[in-house]
Amino acid sequence: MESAKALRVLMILGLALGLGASAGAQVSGKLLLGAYKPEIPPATSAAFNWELENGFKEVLPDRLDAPRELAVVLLAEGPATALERVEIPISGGSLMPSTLVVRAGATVIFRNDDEIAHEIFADGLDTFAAEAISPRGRRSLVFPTSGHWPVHDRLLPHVNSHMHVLPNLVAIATVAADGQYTFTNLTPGKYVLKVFHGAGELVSQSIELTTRGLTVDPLTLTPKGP
Amino acid sequence: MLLSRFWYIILAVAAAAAAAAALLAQSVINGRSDEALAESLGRDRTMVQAVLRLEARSRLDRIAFITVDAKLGGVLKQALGITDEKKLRALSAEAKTAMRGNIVRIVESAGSEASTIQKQELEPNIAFAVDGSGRIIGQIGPLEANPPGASLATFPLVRRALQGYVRDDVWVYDRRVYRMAARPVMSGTEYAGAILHGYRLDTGLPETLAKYLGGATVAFFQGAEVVSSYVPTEVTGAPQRAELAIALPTLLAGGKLKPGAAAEVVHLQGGGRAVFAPIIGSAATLGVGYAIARPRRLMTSPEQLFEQASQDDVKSLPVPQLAGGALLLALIGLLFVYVERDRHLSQLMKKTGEISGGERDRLIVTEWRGGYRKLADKINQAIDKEVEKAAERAPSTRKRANLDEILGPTPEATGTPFFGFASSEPTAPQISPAASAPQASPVAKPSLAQAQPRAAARPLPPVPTPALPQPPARFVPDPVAANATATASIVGDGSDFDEDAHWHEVYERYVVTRRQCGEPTDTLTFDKFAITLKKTRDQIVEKHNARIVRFAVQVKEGKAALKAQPIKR
Repeated sequence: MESAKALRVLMILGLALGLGASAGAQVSGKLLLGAYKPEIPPATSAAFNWELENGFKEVLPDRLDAPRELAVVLLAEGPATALERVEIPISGGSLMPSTLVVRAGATVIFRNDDEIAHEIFADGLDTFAAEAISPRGRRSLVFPTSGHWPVHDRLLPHVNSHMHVLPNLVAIATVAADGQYTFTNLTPGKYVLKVFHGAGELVSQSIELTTRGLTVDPLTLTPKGP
Repeated sequence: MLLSRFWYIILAVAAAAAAAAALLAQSVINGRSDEALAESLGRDRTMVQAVLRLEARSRLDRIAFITVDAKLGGVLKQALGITDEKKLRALSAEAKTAMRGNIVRIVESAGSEASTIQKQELEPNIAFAVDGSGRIIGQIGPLEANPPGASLATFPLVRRALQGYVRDDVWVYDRRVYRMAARPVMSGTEYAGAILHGYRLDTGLPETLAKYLGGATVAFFQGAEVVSSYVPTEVTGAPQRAELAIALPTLLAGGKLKPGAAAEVVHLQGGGRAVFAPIIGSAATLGVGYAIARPRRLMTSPEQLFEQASQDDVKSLPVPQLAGGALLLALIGLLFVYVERDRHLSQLMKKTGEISGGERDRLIVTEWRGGYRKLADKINQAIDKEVEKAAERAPSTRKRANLDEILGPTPEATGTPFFGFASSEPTAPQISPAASAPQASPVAKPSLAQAQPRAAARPLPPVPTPALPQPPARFVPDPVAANATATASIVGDGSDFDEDAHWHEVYERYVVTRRQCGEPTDTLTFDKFAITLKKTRDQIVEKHNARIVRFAVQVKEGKAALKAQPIKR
């Protein structure tokens, strides 16, 4: 009786371990945003007549909007079912995030959450020409070819996004305002962690994920160029 | 008339040069006018930029009090992070109420004397109140019916206002162009959000700008479309809105309206000139800008120089010098005309007057030069013809003049020299008193008549005049004096002898002498006289081997006579 009982416990433990192993590992980490000073291209013309301090309180310094501007991704061989169909919102007047990373061959749906129309397009990509997306509307595109393209809006001149199409993209992280990022539901194995900002790649680091998950050391953002 | 003609040519050349100078001046003035117009448009553009800049500042100042609006600040602070739609709608209503109150305050600040139109121009066409994350909490304008929650976070104007900056911009929002002004809104000592006011580019602004510029057409455009414009009605030929619209596609295609591109003067279809410039603001990259145009005033003819001259221009003219110069030129021309025409003409008038007055029978051709000599000869011929006609119409009892009788028989006929030598007593042709009286039929002397077949063939018509009286006894011509006078022309060795002039002179003296002697001269003509002289000359030259023959007039036995003097080689 006692041996049967022990055998059942072992079986339950083994099953639990097995289930735990197949439930998905997590990768997390933090981006050191304070030291990162992205280069701002010089303006081609005057964008305003006046830009003054309000006179009541000191102005806030420029800061990187990590959730809006950064893309933290993992690359590896193998399928990525979750990324075969992604929805990108257009919110606050621009793409969210402004640095897009999509898997080659995936279906990308642009959703307009603003109250005005947008006409986004990619420079140099004939399949991504300007087409109006009305408020609450959607536009679906497929990008089979890997590469990088700037994305603009014919109706809003300030839209200056970048789209990276990668063949071995397997995961996209959620980035918080303080630079904290998290990948979930990952299969243990070897990956390459990359951080993109605009056209440039800031970080590229190989990691190995175990079943226990991984917390990556804080990453310093250094512009490496497109 | 050589001097006069030359002077006419000079004046013609001067007139042509003056005309060329006037046309050149017209061309130069038109060129300068174009340059001045280009400079004027450049100044206009600078003025418009300055006015738009000041206008943007006034809009920013107008909403300054909203930065410390506690009510609105509190609403925006509460809204940050709220996702519940019901709560957001409630907060949105509060925000709109606060915004409308602010707008009323702005309109009232214009004062009670402001017109309705002026007050309406102070009301924004669109307004947003956004929370600290850039979400629209309250909105007034065309899209205010939309539910709250849409974001403007990435718009540079909103992003900078949320950092605490006061800034202006020009937006194309929902396909309309707005002049935007944004300020932060505070709640206590913290930034709670931002307020934005927007004004459309309507006709009010172009008209205001046009009044600053004085006489210019002003327009705002978005791409190839003119969205608002003002054309001054008091300016003749002011460029129209349609002309500006026609020029836009070419400028846009050529990339000349991009921010940073140099402004060029554009030729409009109607002939005017314009400058196009992008607006200062983010909408410039979407083809939003303004145009300033003025008519092109050209001189179409040099006469307009006088119309365009000012009083100062006229006063600066050197009138005395101009008048003096014109007077001098005129006097020179008149002098030439007098010397070459009027003087001769008056002399001719005087001589012909003497003819009509009976003081002379004909003109002395050798006294004239050029065309006047020919005219004198023609007059003499006309006189001769009229005399002939008169003689034919009224046959006269008077004996026709017979040169043979007058001059005497030729040497061949008498066997004696017709003309004597100067050293011996000349045998002057005898003129019989009977011959001087008109007779029914002429007495034909065979020698002279034969020598003068012309004279015989054309007998002189009888002149119906009464018989001339005998020469007055008291008049006794002095043959010595007459001869001396007559031979006065015989001087020198004859190397510069002008035979034709000499014969004319002899003829004139002979006529005068005959009159003095009381002899008739009506039927005398130089042509006939010359024929006789020629024949006699030839005979003497042949006979005496003379180089030239000189004649002299003398009085012999109370009658005019001729004497010949051969000059030997």
